[in-house]
Amino acid sequence: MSLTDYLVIALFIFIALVILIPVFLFIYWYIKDDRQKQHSILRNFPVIGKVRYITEKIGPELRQYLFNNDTEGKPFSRKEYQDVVKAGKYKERLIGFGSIRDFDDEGFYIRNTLFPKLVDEMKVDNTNKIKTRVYKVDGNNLFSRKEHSEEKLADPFYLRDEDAVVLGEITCRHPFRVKGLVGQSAMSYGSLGEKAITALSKGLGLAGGTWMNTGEGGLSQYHLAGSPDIIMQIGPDMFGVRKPNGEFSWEEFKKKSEIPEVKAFELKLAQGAKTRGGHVEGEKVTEEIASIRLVEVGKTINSPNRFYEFDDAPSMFDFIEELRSVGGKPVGMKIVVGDLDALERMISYMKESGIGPDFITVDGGEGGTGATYQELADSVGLPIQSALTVVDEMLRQYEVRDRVKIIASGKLITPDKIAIALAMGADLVNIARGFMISVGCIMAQVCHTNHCPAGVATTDKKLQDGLIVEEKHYRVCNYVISLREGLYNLAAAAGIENPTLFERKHIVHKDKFGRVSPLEEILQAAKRTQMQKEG
Amino acid sequence: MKVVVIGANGDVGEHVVRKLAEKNIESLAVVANENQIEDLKKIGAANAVVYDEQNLLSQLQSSDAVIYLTGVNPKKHTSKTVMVDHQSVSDTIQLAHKSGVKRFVMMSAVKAEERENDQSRTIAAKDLPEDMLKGANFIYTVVRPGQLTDKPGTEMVKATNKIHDRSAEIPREDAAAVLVESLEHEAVFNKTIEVSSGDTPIHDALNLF
Repeated sequence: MSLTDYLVIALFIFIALVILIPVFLFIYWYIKDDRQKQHSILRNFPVIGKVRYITEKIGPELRQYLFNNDTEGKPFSRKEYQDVVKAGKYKERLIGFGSIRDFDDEGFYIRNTLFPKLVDEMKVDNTNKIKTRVYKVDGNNLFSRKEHSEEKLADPFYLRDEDAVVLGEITCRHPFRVKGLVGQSAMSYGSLGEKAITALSKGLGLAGGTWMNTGEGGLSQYHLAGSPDIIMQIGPDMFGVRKPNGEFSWEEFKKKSEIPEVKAFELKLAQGAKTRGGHVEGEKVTEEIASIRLVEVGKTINSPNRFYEFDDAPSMFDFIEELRSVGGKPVGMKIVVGDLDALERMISYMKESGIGPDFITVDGGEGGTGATYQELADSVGLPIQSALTVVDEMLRQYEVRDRVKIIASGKLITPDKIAIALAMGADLVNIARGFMISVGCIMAQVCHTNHCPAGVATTDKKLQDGLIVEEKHYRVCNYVISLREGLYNLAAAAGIENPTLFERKHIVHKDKFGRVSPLEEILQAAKRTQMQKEG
Repeated sequence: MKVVVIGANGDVGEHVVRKLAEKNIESLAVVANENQIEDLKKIGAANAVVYDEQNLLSQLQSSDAVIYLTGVNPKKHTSKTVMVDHQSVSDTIQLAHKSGVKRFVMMSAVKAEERENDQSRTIAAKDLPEDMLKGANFIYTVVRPGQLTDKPGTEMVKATNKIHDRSAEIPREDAAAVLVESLEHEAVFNKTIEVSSGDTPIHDALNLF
């Protein structure tokens, strides 16, 4: 055969590949789509209908990366996400050319004073520097960004000793003094992988002046890895402090309270994301998890949504009293505000009985990292700004505000949001998702699947391979320090010497028409309306 | 030995006070603001006071050495541009001279010699304090660190008469260590030295002079 013949054969083969295969494939898909009984669109529009499903599938990613503008993404916008990442990576938060907040919209603003405090006048404790690492950008091109990491002695922005916030100052043998206002909200080992928990523990331990809440999944060695101050959470299933039959174990509780890192305990009545009991599949209950939580290996856990130990304020307070006297450490409770009458009954009982929790963690309805149901996440419980103000005001009304500290949480991941919460009555602020982002979370919103692509909310060893504890723990540390620095910046602007001094008068609400009202006025108006209703 | 650290509240000053405390040298930290007194004591200063020209003389009289760092008095000579620091340096030098204190260690900057290529009066003024120091009857050492960074100290430096690389860096902690080490190191008495990060331990690096 001549060369021409070969070429002709090659041409036929080529045509067969390029035309015939797609044609056969098309016919195959067409028949398959046409005959299936699941999707109407595919039955009516075989093959072409797939476009709909493909677009729907990649939609969230496209929106997150391309089409959503910087401020509109939920739960966190690209801007908020980047604020956290940059604080962690570079510890550098300067911006140029102004804010992209929508100033026409309504919202709270921090009231700056005419004569702010000088840096020299701020009551801050920077005597012990923190040895951390930050990234420096060497070059930023279209297809590459060159950066290197270098050591840095960073100012920690601690509160001064005399300004430290103290939990259980009068009630406990071992009060918890904390020299910073921001800590890590409850995240269990199991919902987050061991690497994420270890990175958080080491980062928070390095930063100091902060705390780590274990979540209800018990106290693991990973929480203790960096020796941070720990608030151990106890949920209705009492993981880590239970007997095999599910009853509360005073013996185990005493053991936990003797661990020096454990500074306080928190009874979890509810959390923003799931006002329900937790659920862990049997296959996830490994030997390790079982030994931490003190449950049976391989058996599915369905937590109750309330403690069996108590069902009203008096019985709960008695339980708290006993916990405190056995452990010697502060005991608080975590709530989501919904039923205001029940809350008022509890607070009035606080006054009446003279006992109660050392702190109340108020979780906004918008809070929560966990796996939950849409209806519970969306519509149960008040969002933090309303909830916080209600709790603070009620505690004041019953004159028990000085006996209890309020820890607020619910998307408070930037200094300005934290400052506003402090002004609304919070003493301390809890952050969960901000810290997840600092260890690599990309907001893929698949926490419930154990397939977190960033290796954060997963116990899958392979996925966790992506998360390098040594590198990420500096980001956690930098993020906390940046938040504290930001709070001092805002305090100076508001004319106060440290951020513990934020009060209601430091914020104002601006509505859509530009009308400005102080928080105090809003509360007064609400009270008047209530009195009119009652009277 | 008792050392007065003027400008102890600054970024380098804090490290100086800490290093002095590590060496068990008694220090009096002179700061700009009352608010900073507690901090400096916490870091290790035997005592801390707010800068006050009236009291400085007696404080100097009861001391053996001065470590001078800039930026001590923000309220003084304001609106006088570049002369701000230098006026207060001159004042301090005169006071120290009067007090009879023998040892004077001053931190300047590598860029302080820019006058060579620049005839403008603004930069010329930068040399003035150094010249005054040399003219007075002290055992002086002027330490000119390279660009100061917040990296942790390594205790390893390069010390020469002249650093030609203007972008050479040195952690603040190391600059402070050099100032403190110079106090009793005869090799650098009556010398101006320039330091940046390097690979020689501080004590050995200063021996090279």
